Amino acid sequence: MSLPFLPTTGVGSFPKPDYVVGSIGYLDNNSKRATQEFIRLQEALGIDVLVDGEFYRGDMVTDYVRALGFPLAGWTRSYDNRFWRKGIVDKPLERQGTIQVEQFRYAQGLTKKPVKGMLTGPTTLANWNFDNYYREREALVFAWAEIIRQEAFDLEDSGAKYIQVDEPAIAERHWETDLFKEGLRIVTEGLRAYTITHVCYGDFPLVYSSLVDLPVDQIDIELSSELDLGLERSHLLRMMKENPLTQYKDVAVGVIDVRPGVAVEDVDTIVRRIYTALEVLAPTDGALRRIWIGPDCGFRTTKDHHVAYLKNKVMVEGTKRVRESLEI
Amino acid sequence: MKSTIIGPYPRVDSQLADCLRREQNNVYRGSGNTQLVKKLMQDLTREVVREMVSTGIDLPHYGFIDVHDELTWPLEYVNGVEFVGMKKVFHTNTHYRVALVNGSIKSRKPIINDLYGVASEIHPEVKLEFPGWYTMAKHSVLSGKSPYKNFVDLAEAYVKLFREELLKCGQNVLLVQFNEPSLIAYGREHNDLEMVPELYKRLLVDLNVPTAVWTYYGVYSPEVLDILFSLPVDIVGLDFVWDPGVERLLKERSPDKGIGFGFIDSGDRGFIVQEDSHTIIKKLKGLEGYVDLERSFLSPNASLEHLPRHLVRQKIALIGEITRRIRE
Repeated sequence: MSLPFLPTTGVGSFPKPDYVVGSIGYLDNNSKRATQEFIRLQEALGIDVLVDGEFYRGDMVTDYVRALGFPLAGWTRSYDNRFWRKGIVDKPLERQGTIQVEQFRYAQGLTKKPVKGMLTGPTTLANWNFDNYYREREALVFAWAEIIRQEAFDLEDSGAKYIQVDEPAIAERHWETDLFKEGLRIVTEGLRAYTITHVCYGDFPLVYSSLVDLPVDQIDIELSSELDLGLERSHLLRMMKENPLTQYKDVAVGVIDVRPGVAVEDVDTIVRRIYTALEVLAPTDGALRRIWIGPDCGFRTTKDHHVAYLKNKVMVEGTKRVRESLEI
Repeated sequence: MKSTIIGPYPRVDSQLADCLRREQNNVYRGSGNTQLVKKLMQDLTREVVREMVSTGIDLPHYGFIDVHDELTWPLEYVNGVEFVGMKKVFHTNTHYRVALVNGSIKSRKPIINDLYGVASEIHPEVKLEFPGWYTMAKHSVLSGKSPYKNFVDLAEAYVKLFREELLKCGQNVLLVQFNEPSLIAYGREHNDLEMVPELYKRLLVDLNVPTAVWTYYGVYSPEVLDILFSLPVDIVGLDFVWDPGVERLLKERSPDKGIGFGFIDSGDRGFIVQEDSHTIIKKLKGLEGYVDLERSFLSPNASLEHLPRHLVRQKIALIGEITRRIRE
C-alpha cells in the first residue's frame, strides 16, 4: 500500500472508554468493541498507519510477564499519577504462546488500512522488571530478545506489514547502547516487515550516535517539547541538524504532547512543530520523504478520551496543511 | 545511629492510595474534586508517615506522596519556570519534568507545604528534604528570555531560593537534607564540581540547623569524595549499593562527619535484594573508629519508590532492626 507524503500514525494506546474495565491482557467483548470504535475513529480522521489502541492492557510490560508465567511484584510509579506493575523474572524466559498476535489479527481484520503489530523491546522489558534469575545484563536482554523475535515472526506470519518494537528505555542505561542495539538486532534480523522502534522521554543526546545505526527501518521519537524549545535551546535538535537521522532511516516525529493535563494544541502549533522538524531533519527532498508524523507516545496518559480524539484530529489537520503548503 | 529513608515513599497499595489515584485521574479528566484530592493527600501522608515510623524509621520525611517527581517539585512554588516536557535523566523509568527557566526565579509560595505540617503532627521528628540545587540546575533548560546566562548563574539562583526558604523556617528543624544524585550519577561528566563547596557554604552559612547532602546512582572517585567531605554539612549520604568500594575510601579518609550509609538496595538497579542484617552490622562495626556512628544514619541507597510498597515495608523494617542492634 502506498502512503502519502508525511504519513500520519499512532504510537499505540488510547484512553479506555468507561465500558472497558481493568487490564486483562487479552481481548474480551468490551475491548473488541473499543478496538473497533478506535479503528473507525482513526479511519475517519484519515490517519495512514493505524494502531489498535491497546484497550486490553494497562501498560506495556505486564502482558509479557503474565504470558511467560512470572509473578508480578507490584505497582511502582514512573511519574506523577502513573504506575506500572513490575514482574519478577525468577526462572529462564520461555515463550508459552503468542502474546500480541491475536490482538493484531483482530485489529487488522477490521480495516483495509495497515495496522502496526506492536511489541515491547528487550531492553525495556529487561529494565522495567526485576531480574532475580539471570543477574547479568547481557543474558537477560538477549533472553528477552529471543522471546520478542519469536513474537515478531508470528506477527509477520499473521500479516503485519509494520512491526513496532517499543523501546522507551533506550537511554536509561546509556552506557549499554551496544547491548541495546544487539537486542534489537536479534528481534528484527530476517523480518520482511517494515520495522519501527518507538523511543520516548529519554536523554537522547547521550545515545544519539547509536540511533543512526539501529537495526530498524524507522525511529519513532517523542519530540514535541524539543521542537517547542527550538534549535537554539535544544541540544538534541542541534545534534539532529548536524547529523540528520533521515540520512540513515525514516523518522516518525512526535508532534503531539500526550502528558496528562496538557491542553489540546491548536493546528498552528502542530504546523510550527512540523516545520521545525523539517528544518532539522529534512535538508533534502529525499530526507523530506523519510519523515512521518505522530504523537509523542501513546494517548493513554492523557486520561481523557475526548482530549485524545481532538489531539489526533489536530495532528492530521496540521499535517494536511503542511502537505498542501509544500505542494509535493 | 538513626534510621532514615530518602526520596518519595511508594504512594500505592492501600485503599486510601487507590482513592487518591482515582480522584487525581478524575481531576485530569476535568471531573475531579481538588478539595477531595487535597484531603486524600493529607490522609495518605498520615498513613505513610505512620507506616514509616511504626516499621522502624527514626527520622522520616513527609512522604512526598504529592510530588510529580523528586527532582522538580520545588519549582512548582516559584515564578520564572515552566514545565515543558519529561525526561528520564537517570537509569530508571522515573520521568522527571523538564524545567524551562524563562524568568527570574522567585518564590511564589512556601516550598515547605502543608503536608510537612501534617507529617509533623503524626511524628515530632520529621526531616526536611529537597532536591539539591546542583542536580536541579543540571537538568533545567535556560530559555532565551532567562536572566541567567549559564549553569553557574542558574545554580546561584537555586541556592538563593533555598536559602530564603530555610531562613523562614527557624531553628527547630531536625535535619535539612539535599539529594544530589547528579554529583556522582553513573556515566555522566563531573567536571564542574569545584563550585559545589562554595555554593553550599553560601546556602547554609549561619543557618544553625543540622544539614545533609545525599548522593546516589554512581561511584565515587577519591576526588569527588574529598569534595563531598569538604562540604559545610553535618552528614554526607553515600551509595554503598552502587559502589561497595567507597567503604575503603571512607576508611582512608575518616571524615569528621556523620555518614548516611546507603547500604540497603532500593531496587533501582532492577534486583530484589534481600539483605542479611548480620553482614550489614558487620560492615558497620568495621567502620567504627573511622566514622562517628552515633551521628550517622542507615538508609536505602535511593528512593524506595523503585520497589512495590509491601517490599518497602520489609526493607524499612530491616533498616530499623539493624539500627536498633547497632545502638544496643
